[in-house]
Amino acid sequence: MTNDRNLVAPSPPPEASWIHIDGDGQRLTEVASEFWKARELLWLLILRHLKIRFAQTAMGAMWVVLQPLTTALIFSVLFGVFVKVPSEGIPYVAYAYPAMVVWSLFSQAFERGSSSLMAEERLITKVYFPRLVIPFAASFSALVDFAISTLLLVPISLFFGIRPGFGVFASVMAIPPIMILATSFGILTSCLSVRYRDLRTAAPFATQIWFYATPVVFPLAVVPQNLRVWVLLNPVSAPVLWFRASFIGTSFPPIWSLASSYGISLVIFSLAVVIFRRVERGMADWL
Amino acid sequence: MKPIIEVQNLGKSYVVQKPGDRWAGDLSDAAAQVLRRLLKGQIFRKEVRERFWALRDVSFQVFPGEVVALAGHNGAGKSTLLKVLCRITAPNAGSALIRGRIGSLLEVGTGFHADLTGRENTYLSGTILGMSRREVNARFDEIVAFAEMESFIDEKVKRYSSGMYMRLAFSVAAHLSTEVLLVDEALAVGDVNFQRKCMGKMGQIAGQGRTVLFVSHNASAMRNLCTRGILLDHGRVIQDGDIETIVQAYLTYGSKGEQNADWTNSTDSFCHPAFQPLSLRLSYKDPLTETPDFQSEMTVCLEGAIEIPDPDLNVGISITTPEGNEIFRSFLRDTPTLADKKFSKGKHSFRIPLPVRLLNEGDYRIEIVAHNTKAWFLEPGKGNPSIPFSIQGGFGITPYWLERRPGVIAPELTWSISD
Repeated sequence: MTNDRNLVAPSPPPEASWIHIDGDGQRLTEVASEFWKARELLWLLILRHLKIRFAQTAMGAMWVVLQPLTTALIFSVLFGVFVKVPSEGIPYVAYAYPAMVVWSLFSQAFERGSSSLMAEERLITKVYFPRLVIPFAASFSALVDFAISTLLLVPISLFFGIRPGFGVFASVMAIPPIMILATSFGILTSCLSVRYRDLRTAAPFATQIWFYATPVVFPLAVVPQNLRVWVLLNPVSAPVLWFRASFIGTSFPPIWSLASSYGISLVIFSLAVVIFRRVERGMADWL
Repeated sequence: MKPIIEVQNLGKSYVVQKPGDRWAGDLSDAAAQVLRRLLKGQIFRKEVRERFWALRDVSFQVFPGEVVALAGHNGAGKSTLLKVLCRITAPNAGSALIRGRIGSLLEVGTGFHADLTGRENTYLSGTILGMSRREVNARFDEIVAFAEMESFIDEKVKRYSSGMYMRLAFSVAAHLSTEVLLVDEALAVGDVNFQRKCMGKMGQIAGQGRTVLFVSHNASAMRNLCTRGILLDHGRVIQDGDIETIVQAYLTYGSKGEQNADWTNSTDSFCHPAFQPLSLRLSYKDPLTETPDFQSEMTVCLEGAIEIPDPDLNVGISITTPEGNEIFRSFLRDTPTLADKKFSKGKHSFRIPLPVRLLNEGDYRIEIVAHNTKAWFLEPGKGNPSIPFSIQGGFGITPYWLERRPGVIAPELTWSISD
């Protein structure tokens, strides 16, 4: 009988699983350990994002590639044909696409993260689990799109006669700061937009401005010498340049800029977690 | 034995938002407010904000294995208490300690998504509710079997009928293995059969030695499932005791006054020489502490004065809904021994026992009517003396009915089987 097992009274739970409820927020260590315990949930939520995304679509994963590719094509007509932006001797499409792939990772991860809490309102008001999982799952689902469009990067490069060498493996270095940064901004925007819905409108607008502040569709070389430092201090710039350089052999950004990108993204991440923790307690009341 | 739930002076308040509050409205409002205060030099003045306490000074303890009903009328704070205990929202005052893991079943289908299959939803919903993947794996077959879903489990949930959807969703929730379960009655949804199955499962869970807090409006469900009750009103604990006491207190709480609205003819109105009503009252066992349920014995007591005896006088009562729809009438002359009764001048009292196990749960009115063979003295529905009364709970003698029966009346018929 299956029910016999259920009739045994549960053994007293260990003290570690006790729950203390009071007006004070959780300590950061508790936040971290709860988050770790919820990793299965994180994974299932990421999977859910994917399944829902490709449910009942005829072209499925093709859509993922189409977006950065079309944007790259549009910019190659604009900048490669009309304006003739220098592209370090590489056909403009091949030059713009890898940068666009990284940029898409950033903007997608940011945008999905920033609308995530509002989208999961029903969950948040009905059941408790570490809420941090929600923006994380949303942001990290963008990694799948990124993987698919990176795979396409190889045939595109080969088509234009570029042979990616072992430098390709260096591209991995560009991903962590992008993800940390995008997730942090996603966390910040989503938890603050629970209270101030204005931010939902502001987020895509901010991404758009940010796009033109990052050397995605133009090379760093066209930026006046005295402004380059500022462009490189933009924490998205170095990873974008780094990723492109490791695939198609353009010039790498200075190593300090990648290091500062890591540094800035970690600082923003800590800030985001601290703010999230403060907002989390009253979140269900605002939703 | 230590209590598994210890709640101490728990309080939860909400700010009552008024236009002009610093944090009311959107971002531009907030900015404008800050600017205005800055100009007036008031930025540092502490804002006096009105607070509404949804929970206040709530303290109680629950021991392992207890099944406790949280009773109270709408707005009493039951749901807020559940939300605080399962950490959906944080309290503003006091604390609570739960010596174990806690699972909450506040709605059916938490985390379900229409575009995923039954199997995927089972894993997702189970994990959201706090099970590990291994636990879902171990219980998967049980969950599917309870939901009677074996052949559809790999179908997308949006292709399910609403009944199938709810069966699966409830089944996932019912297989949580936490030491403490917080359950909202709203969980039991769908048709009567499914509700009975849900309640049956809840009873089974309660019988397993797990601790359950059960929020309900339903006296029968509370009586069937719980051993103890806590009555809340306006965010405070009013009473804490065994389930029968609490259910009785819940049913009478706030409904006195109206119940004992007797009518007496204090203004000497409805004056008619053949019959003048003097008083109307409903008596039943211990009216101060008890609201009648459907098997309460109630008697209508009616007094009237006769100035000029009319041999054809007929006095009656009419039972209507509060909206005035008539359910039935009963007359003096219906009773064979009184069919030819001649009344003398003076005051007369009538006692009319109401049939038990006939009226459904709900609100009613009793109205006095009177006529002779030619005309109405007190015509039904024409503003005659009347009193309201309610029937609450007791849906049947057997535990089959957990909710109000459909229909206007709920007579108890006796079935027999001849094979």
